[in-house]
Amino acid sequence: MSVTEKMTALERVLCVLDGKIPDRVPGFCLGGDYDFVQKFMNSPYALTEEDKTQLDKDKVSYSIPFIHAIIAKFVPPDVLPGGLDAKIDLCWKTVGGFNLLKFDFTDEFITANGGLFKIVVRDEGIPHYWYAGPALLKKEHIKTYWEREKDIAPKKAEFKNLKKQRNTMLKKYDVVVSNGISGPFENCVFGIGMANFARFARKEPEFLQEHLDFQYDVIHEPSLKFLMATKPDVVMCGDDYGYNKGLQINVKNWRKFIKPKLANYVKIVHDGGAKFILHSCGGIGEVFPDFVEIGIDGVESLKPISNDLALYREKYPEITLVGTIDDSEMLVHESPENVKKSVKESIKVLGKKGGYIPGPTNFLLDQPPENIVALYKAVKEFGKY
Amino acid sequence: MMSPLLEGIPAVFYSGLYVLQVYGKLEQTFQGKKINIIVYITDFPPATQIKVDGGEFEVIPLEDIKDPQELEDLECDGYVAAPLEILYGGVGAIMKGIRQKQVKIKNMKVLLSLADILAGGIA
Repeated sequence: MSVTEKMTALERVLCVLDGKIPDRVPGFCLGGDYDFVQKFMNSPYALTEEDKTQLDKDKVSYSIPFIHAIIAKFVPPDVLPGGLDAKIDLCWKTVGGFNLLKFDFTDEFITANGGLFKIVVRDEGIPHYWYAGPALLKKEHIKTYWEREKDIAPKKAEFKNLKKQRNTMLKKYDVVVSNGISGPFENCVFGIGMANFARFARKEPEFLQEHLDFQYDVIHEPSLKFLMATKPDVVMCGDDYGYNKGLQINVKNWRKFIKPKLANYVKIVHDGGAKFILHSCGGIGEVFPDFVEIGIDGVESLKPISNDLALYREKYPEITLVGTIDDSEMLVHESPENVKKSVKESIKVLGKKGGYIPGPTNFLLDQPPENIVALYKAVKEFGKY
Repeated sequence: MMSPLLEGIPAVFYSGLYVLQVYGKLEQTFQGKKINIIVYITDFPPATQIKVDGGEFEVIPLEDIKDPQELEDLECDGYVAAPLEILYGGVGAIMKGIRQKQVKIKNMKVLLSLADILAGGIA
């Protein structure tokens, strides 16, 4: 912790998630993709040899997309000599490794949720990887997937480094690392696709429920138990429910099939003594009352164009709003000065009484690094209580 | 539409090396040694030739390789050919695979280089 701070990052983040007012507004960063790391390392803010020597000594992870080494660079100079003095308090890391599977019905990689995984290197030499569509297109594919239970189940060893990485970032750089796994909706839909989800929900709800139960019993519950055994303070699980203009599925189906599973996630995390943040892209206002009901502590992403943030702040004071700084328009196209003004305004509207952890609404990708530095400097400048 | 430079397994190895390079850690990771290895994940072709020299690297898909035996004819410091499941299983599974002739390997040090490359890549 820097000598100039009144609270540690952990105290600050937990204070906000507890609904209390901390010393200042904390900042959040989900991570960054290859493009952003390339831009950052070619900017005036790049990690220096001296930075890297210290980060290596402290065993800070450089891995993409969690970019802990770059997040550490934002600390004050009394913590890292080349520090940018625009500290980020909360970041993220999911379970390591990329568990790819081979199935007879496709030549592509399949991930544990049944989705196709694609990694390409573009012409300019920058790699990129993403979910490329569902692989379990037919009922027989789904049944074959169920038979691969042993390969799909999480391994305890995959969770073993999380505690070490959290402790490094917290003790050396005063940054809280939240840990998480994918949520029940994303894991289901990535594997079987939206069309199948909608069709099964309508015509064969028992079959859809069976698949959701399989994934919960085989992947989600054991993963959460392995994760909680590492004693995290904050868990953030990703489950994108929204399009730009609203939910991807009918709210009745969300409540019937997804909400009970999500409630189990929250219970396991709370029983383990941690706070629960949900990452969900898109417009998700319709299910905010449900989030309150099942006890979610914070909701992350919250692109302003898709969400009435002032209304959420007013109507759901129980829920901490995390993210909210538009990553794909404002942070890409505006000047650092305008970014600063926008963050100042957001803090005024959303963070007056606590309950706010601002940061980019998704992984950093093509934003100019100076805008990201401006964002966190503004959080520090305008976030004092 | 532009076609990508690399896809699949060659792109996985490329991404690991790219991360090391973009952070300026490529030379340090391999301690200045020249690397020239081939990895053939038999159920996810093509085989991939990986070359590292100082702060530069090259990843070459070897589309013509159809059988692990063909690796013997190629100029490299070492190679490994095995199905994905065995490579995922770690050293124990690889040793068992060698005994059961499911893994073809020349120069065990190739595995250390591979671990360094993948550690740099996807988290």
